[in-house]
Amino acid sequence: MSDRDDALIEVVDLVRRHDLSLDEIAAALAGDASFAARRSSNMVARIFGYIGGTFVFAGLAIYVGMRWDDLGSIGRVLLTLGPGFSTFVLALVCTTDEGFERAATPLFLLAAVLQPAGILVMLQEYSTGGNPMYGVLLMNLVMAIQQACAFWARRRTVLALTTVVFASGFFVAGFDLLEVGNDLVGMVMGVSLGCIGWTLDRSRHKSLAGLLYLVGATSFLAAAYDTMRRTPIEPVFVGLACGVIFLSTVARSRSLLVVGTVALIGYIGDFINEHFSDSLAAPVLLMMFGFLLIGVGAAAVRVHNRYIKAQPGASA
Amino acid sequence: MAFKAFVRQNVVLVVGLTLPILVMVAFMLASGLPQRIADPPRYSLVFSSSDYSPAAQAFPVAPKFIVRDGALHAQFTRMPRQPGGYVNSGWKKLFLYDAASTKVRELPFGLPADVESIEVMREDPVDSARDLVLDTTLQSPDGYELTFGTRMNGGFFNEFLWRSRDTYGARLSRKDGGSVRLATADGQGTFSLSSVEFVGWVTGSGARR
Repeated sequence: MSDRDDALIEVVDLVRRHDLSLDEIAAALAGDASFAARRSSNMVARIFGYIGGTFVFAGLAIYVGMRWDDLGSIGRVLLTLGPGFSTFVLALVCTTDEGFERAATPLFLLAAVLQPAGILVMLQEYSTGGNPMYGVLLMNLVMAIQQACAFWARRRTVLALTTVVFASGFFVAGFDLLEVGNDLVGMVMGVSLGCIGWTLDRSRHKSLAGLLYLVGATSFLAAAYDTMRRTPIEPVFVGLACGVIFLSTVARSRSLLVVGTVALIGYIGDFINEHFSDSLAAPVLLMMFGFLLIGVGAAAVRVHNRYIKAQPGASA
Repeated sequence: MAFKAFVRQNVVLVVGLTLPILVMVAFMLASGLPQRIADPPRYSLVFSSSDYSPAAQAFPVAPKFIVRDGALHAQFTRMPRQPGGYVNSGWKKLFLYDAASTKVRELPFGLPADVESIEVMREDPVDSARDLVLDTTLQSPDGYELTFGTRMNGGFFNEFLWRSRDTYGARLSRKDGGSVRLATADGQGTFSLSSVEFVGWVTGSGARR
């Protein structure tokens, strides 16, 4: 397949995911005036939305910080959880009106920061001791349920992201309370995030896939190497790193390619350092390693160009 | 049917969501296994743990717990002042693992009232343990011992499955797999290898004078 074929596959995929009609595409390609105006206004509205949201958040944070010591428990909870929940409701309202829809994403993000802080402040103010990790577990559970329900109803990509973040936080806190080994947690969460990323990659929320692949593959390989390092099964790690590189071609993901390549290079470097650092053969091996690096790098670029790069600005 | 169709269409998503849930459930079940497959300890344990609070470290005497004729005594030894005026007493807290409630509680233990009269060393009975008859045999009559380390005997898979934080935690364990972690009632505080000392198993009770 040529790059043009890859691009065509990607275009068809985008058209199907976003339910675009051929007339809409043709009008946009022909330089339709309303499309150009919408494109320009969307960009302006988005930029102002993000900057405005940042100012609101900064002002609120500074105000809360200045007044914190003077506030009682109820005041502290109201000043954190209150704006958080209000922002969340406001964001939901924004999604119902096309005119305010662009403001929804920054508001959802703001609510995803303020609400957990409010829940933790509430637990801090009214709890009677015990393991704080149970508080983190509860906060993540409440937030994951809320964000998942909102995602189910509104199908916004930002809500998919926050759902994944809080659900991951819930599982990590739960594993911590159950004293599950860190390496096992890393591998389980890595596989889980990879699977979710794979599904999102084939949906309209494709833009999240790259991030999930990156975090998932890094978590999985780091945990796997920590488990296998200096054990008889250490060479299996090479297979895992190569497996991630292979997956990158199947998933057409640059993130997986980068993580797999870095893991492979890191393993080779660690192996040489461990076994040949005091040997006279080390300089020769280092040069060979250098050529190997060049080879791996060239191969990675070739894999990227051949199997991943579909069109300029391709995601994941 | 709709659920089945959803699962069939999103197998990878279902795997991603259920994997951590399955692991969590497996560990919840596994955490309760040692208590289910073996009888829990039937004898309570008295043990001590270092008190690292600055106030306790500045006490002028250091305690050492000894069991004499089944009764717990504390030997208080006056500590010399360090060049900077500091005193490092190595003070200890006293704890009871209560086999009946399976909870750990602290036994009151503080400075003796006339601490200034201790010139070199003095031995006093510990009032809070007056009703306890202690046995200093390391293994309890039902086979439990105070141990430190993983819940099973180490090994690749145990180290992979269980977090290393638990490696140095104090536990009561028995060869048939029975194992109880020593932790404070809220489960937050654990007792580490470096701070815990065995004092004795409670083999009876009765007021002493």
